[in-house]
Amino acid sequence: MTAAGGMPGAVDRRAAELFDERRNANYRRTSRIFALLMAGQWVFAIAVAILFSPYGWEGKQKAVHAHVWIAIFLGGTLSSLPIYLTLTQPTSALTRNVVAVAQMLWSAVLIHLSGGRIETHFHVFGSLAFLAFYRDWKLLLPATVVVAADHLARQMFWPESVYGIVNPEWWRFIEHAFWVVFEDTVLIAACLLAVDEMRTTTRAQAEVELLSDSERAKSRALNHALDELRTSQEQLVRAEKLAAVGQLAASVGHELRNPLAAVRNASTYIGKRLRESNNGEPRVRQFLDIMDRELDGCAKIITDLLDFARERPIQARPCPLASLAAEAIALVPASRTAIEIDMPSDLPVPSLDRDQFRQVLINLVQNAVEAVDGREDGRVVVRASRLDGHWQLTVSDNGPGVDAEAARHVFEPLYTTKAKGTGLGLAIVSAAVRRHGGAIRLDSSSGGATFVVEWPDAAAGSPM
Amino acid sequence: MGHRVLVVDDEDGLRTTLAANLELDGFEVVEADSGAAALARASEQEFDVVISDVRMPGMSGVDLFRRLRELRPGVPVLLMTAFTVEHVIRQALREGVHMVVPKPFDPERVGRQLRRAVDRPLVCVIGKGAVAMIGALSLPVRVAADEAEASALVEGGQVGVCIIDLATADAPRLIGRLRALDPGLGFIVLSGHGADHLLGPAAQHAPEILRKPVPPQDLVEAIARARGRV
Repeated sequence: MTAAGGMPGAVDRRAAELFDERRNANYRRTSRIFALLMAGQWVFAIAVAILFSPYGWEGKQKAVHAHVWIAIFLGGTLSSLPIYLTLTQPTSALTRNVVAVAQMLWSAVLIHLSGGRIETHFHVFGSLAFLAFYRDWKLLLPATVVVAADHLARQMFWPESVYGIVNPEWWRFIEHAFWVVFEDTVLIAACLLAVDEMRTTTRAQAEVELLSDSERAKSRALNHALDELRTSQEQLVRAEKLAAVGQLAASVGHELRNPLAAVRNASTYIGKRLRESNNGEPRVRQFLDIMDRELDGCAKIITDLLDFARERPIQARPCPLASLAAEAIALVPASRTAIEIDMPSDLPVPSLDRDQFRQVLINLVQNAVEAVDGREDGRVVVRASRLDGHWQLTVSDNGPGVDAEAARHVFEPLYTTKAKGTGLGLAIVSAAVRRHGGAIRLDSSSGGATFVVEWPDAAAGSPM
Repeated sequence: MGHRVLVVDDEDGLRTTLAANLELDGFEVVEADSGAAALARASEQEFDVVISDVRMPGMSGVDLFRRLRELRPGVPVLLMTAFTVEHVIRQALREGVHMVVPKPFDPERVGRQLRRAVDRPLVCVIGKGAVAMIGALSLPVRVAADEAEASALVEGGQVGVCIIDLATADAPRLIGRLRALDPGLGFIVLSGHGADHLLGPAAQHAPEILRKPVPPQDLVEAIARARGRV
């Protein structure tokens, strides 16, 4: 099992990527060093030619100018290509090889310009070490070949140029070659070790990266889960509280229905007897009307509480919306508000829980009527339509609308803006619509308030 | 002489006020404050209709209904309840309770419902398709083969609810015609799958629509609702 949790391929890929990145970065860095070195060597060669050549291997003969020209032109030739390549293609193999060859030729030139001084030969070792900065051991091969070829050729044809003396021992080049090979061996080992280490560290880095990626993902998932848990716990606590309050309210409501019915019966009886006896006291008649109205209000509150406390499963059956709306409107005391039903006569019949949807319509129409209460031009419109397998039912009023703050909370239980109200009406509506697999929203954008109920064709919904 | 009604409720306040209203409405009212008392009254004299509370100490309204059905078969029984649809009530409807009156109620409306229960207890089935389904239920049913027969039955004055099979009758026209004879008539339309569009504008006039095959429970509840809609 790899650290990245069963993704060895991913680690390999990432490690290879990082390795290439690191190696190319090193190529670029080393190429930059060589660009500077090439330029520096050129300047240095000119300086050496000017300062040392006259006193070098040609003694006091007039050769000063020739060496300076060599330094300037040969040096320029040697430096210009590698400088160009290191600047334009710092990571290419061609650049490295050209640099290797040019650097070793520079050694040859400097040795030549310094009159074959044995100390100048250290430039060869330094150059090889510099080339090893590339950590590409193969570069040491052309470099070594150049050094060897140069030494051999010059020992044969121009020994004072390389050893500073006219007749060196024949094995001098072997002695030089031995030290070069010795250094090569050391440098090749160093290159290989460096590459190996780079491979190890990039792999480790890839593993760490992927591990921390997966750790981050895990911690994100954990945080998300915690958030959800907290939210659902809050909802649960809230639901439990509401359920407890609801149960209590519901049982109280049940108990109240009997006395309420008795009072209502009594009030109806007294009203009738008064009408029969033609009793002229207008206050009594008026107060009986008030009793009836308030009793209706009480009955409505109890119904709301019971509806809220009990999550009834829906019993869907065909339910014509126009008749349902008419039924609901008949149950809403409308005073002088005009309530219209605006539905196409060929509107199909949806399958709904009639009782629950009647409650939805009653609550929405009631709210709308209350919103326009007291207006001369108060108007409430109930519309329905069907589009692409979706039903839409809207209840609009031309009242003052709902402000943004209230709009955020209107569907929450116990939230109310009315002086009189349980704050359960829209929560009941919303729950009933949800049980039909639908949703309700409030649109207050075009003046007044429009409640939009939408639900899908198959109103099966959740069994809740 | 008005119909004789037995009002059964253990709550004195509700019982006496309802009784007073019904008397004012022209009923001859006898009160009973328990199921046992109600049975005693029913064995002493005949009643046209019984209205009883469901939750009472001792014998419940549903049990009372079962005993009355043996004692006085054919007398319609209405149940009052402060509770919305309850299992026992659904079962009672299945067994033949006439309808359920939710509390609190409008006593004048209860008067109308009681009167219709006595005067128009029958369910008229129009179209042969629905007959088999209805035969199994304990309902006072009359079958009409066609529109003319249906009109005659409704005119006869004993029908409270009509069940119309969309497959065999032109429901919109028939509803219009029968409603003219009795504005309080309840309608239940049986619809085949996807035949809802046949309803047309009549669908606007609040008939109960049931999609076939109709579960018996749904049918008895729809009939009870249709009876209550007066």
